[in-house]
Amino acid sequence: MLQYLVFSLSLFGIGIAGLFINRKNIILLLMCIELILLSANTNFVIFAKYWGDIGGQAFVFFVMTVAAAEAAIGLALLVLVFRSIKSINVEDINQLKG
Amino acid sequence: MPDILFMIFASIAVLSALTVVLVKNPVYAVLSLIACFIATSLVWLGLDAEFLAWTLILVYVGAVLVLFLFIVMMLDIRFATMRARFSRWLPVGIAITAALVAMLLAFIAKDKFIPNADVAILAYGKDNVRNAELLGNHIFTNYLAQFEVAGVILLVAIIAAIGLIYRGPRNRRQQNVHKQISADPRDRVRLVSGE
Amino acid sequence: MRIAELSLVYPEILVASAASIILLIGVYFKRGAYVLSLVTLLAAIIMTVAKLPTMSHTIFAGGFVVDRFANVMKLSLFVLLGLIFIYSKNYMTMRKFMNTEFFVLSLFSMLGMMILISSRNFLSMYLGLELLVLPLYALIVMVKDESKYAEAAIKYFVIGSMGAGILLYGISFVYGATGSFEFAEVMTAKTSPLTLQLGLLFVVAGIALEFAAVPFHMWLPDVYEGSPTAVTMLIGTLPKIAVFVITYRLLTEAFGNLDMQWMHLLLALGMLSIAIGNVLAIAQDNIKRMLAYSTIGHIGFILLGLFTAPSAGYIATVYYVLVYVFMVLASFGIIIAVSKQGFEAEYISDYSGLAKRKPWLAFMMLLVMLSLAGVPPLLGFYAKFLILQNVVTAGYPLLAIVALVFTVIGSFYYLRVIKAMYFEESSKELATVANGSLTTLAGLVLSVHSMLLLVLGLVPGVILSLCLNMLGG
Repeated sequence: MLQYLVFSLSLFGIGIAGLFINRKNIILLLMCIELILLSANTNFVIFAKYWGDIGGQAFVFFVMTVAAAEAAIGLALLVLVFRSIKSINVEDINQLKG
Repeated sequence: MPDILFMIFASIAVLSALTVVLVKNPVYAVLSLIACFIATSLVWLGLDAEFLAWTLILVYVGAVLVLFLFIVMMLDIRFATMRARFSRWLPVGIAITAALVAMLLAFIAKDKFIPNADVAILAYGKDNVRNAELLGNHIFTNYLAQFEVAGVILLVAIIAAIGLIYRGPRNRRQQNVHKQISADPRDRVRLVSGE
Repeated sequence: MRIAELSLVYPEILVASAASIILLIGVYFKRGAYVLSLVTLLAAIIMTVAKLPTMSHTIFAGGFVVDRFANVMKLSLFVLLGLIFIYSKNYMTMRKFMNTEFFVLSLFSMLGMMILISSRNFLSMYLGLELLVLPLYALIVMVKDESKYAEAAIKYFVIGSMGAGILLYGISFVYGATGSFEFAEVMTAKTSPLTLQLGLLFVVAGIALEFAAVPFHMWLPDVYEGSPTAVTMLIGTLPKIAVFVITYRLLTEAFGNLDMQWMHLLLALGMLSIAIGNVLAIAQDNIKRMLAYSTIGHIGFILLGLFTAPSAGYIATVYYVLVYVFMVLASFGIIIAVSKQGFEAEYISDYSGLAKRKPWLAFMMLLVMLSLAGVPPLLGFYAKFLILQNVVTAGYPLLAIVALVFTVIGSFYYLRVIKAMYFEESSKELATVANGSLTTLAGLVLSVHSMLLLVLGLVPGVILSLCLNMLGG
């Protein structure tokens, strides 16, 4: 069981690291968020097997639905940003004073 | 799942995930993410999550990640101009992440997760029922209301996405059938003597 | 799921069906969405008031709880959303906002809040949170001139999704530690305490991101500034109620048995929020950013109130949350009232000389600003007083004094607005402001709203007894 958890932990770690070191574009941000969601889903599947409880897999079912919806809206927003500033570089998004 | 298979699939998944974060070309990044998801789906197969493994490939990879790919290609990003400036944040980011992962690992290893032998096998359930049937029974008895809510979430995503992007017909000629049918020939054609 | 259970969720069913029908009708009758949405909210209010439950019912296999607390909070949501609709109608038509979509998406977002308020397991909580938040991302950009709002929308989206991902990760650990999603079972779990604490940490981090508590507050000023005022009104008021309720439920039902360390963490974050919010607001020229930082300060007070739980602390906190949302709604309503086509009334300097041009509006703003600052005898004062009193009785008088000091420091930025209105020359923009952005109904309602801040402040017991009633049942 531990090796599975290490696996999902490393996916989570790579996702978070990607969020921090990302200097390039927003699509990479969105993809790292998908990686984090994937690691959480894997956690659920692992623990579902550990407890012998199908509820964990049911949760994954719902998370996949929501993640699809979120990705759709996120990409629509991305297209809008691109239309207005013609670039998806993270550094170009600086009109609002952080 | 035999350990060797798990090691192979897990390594593919982790390596693709690393590629996603490190590579310059966004198309390669999306393709690596797809590879990562497919490898993870195979790992799930070994964890008795048969329906979910299939759904992951069908729905997530097949719809969501392909959508990513469409957007990446549509936006025509000049990856040659994106310099990978790893300068300040890289060491900090990696340090924080490594610390986080190490801490998580230490905590989890302490609460040893060794599955009991008599726990129901999810691939077959208690009465030799298949995984999909087990899952379906559970969702549609216990979580039916949440299922409806998930449907509403999808509806919201559709309304939002269309409302954001759709700008109406532009530079498009459209037929107004109503006007076409109600046209009166006497308005359109006038007979003039040719003398 | 039994049919009998459905009768308890008639309000949710009503809102969901009504929103879908409004979507369809809005295609044919452009103005219809406004009227229909108000009718829906009215029907929901009547439906909820007609059968206030006396005890708590848990339905849908433990996923949904219907008790008096939840229903009264939902009532407040209906009323506040109705006010938001009334105030924003003209604002949106002027800016060519997509009319039907605004109402429909707001109704769906409110549905998410209703589900979040009533949730009793992590699945309902996650779904409710996502349903709450997804329409908000989209609403920020649904105006005609979308380019300047796109940035705020994508910032809000990325940070919100990150929060949801971390929340989900925490839930996965809680599930791993206890094998269940129900809050009640999580509380009585005896296995794997370390993993449970880890999960709790991530869950709290995820929720704090939604709540804009320090240290996850960075997105709030940008999103407030970068969204159209009607949408800022929506983002800044209603979600706070829903997220507060779920925090309350988590603290009492799921994580009640954990140690004092968490309580002290709440205290620290609360004090930090009060400090940072009040200090940083002083430097702002943009009134929406100022309100964002002041929001962070107010959230600090809410965290302080949660720290001084149980019972007396909760009543004070619920009171504070309701009062605060009421006040902030009024302030945004006035911002909308002052703005007109092409002029957003965003900078404090825009309000110069308002007292001469439109004295009634200026007086309302005076009431709102003083109430936010916590000046007696307005409504905001008693709320702050209750919370500070609880902090003192919990044994931290020094901290209460520090919080008071920061509040006084913070009142400076509210006074700035008042000074601009009453003591400065009017700017050119203001000179031509017509009675533009509010319908007559909205103007009337806004006046009543602001006067209530004074009236209810003189008799704070009205709302207080409501809170007592809710939580006692």
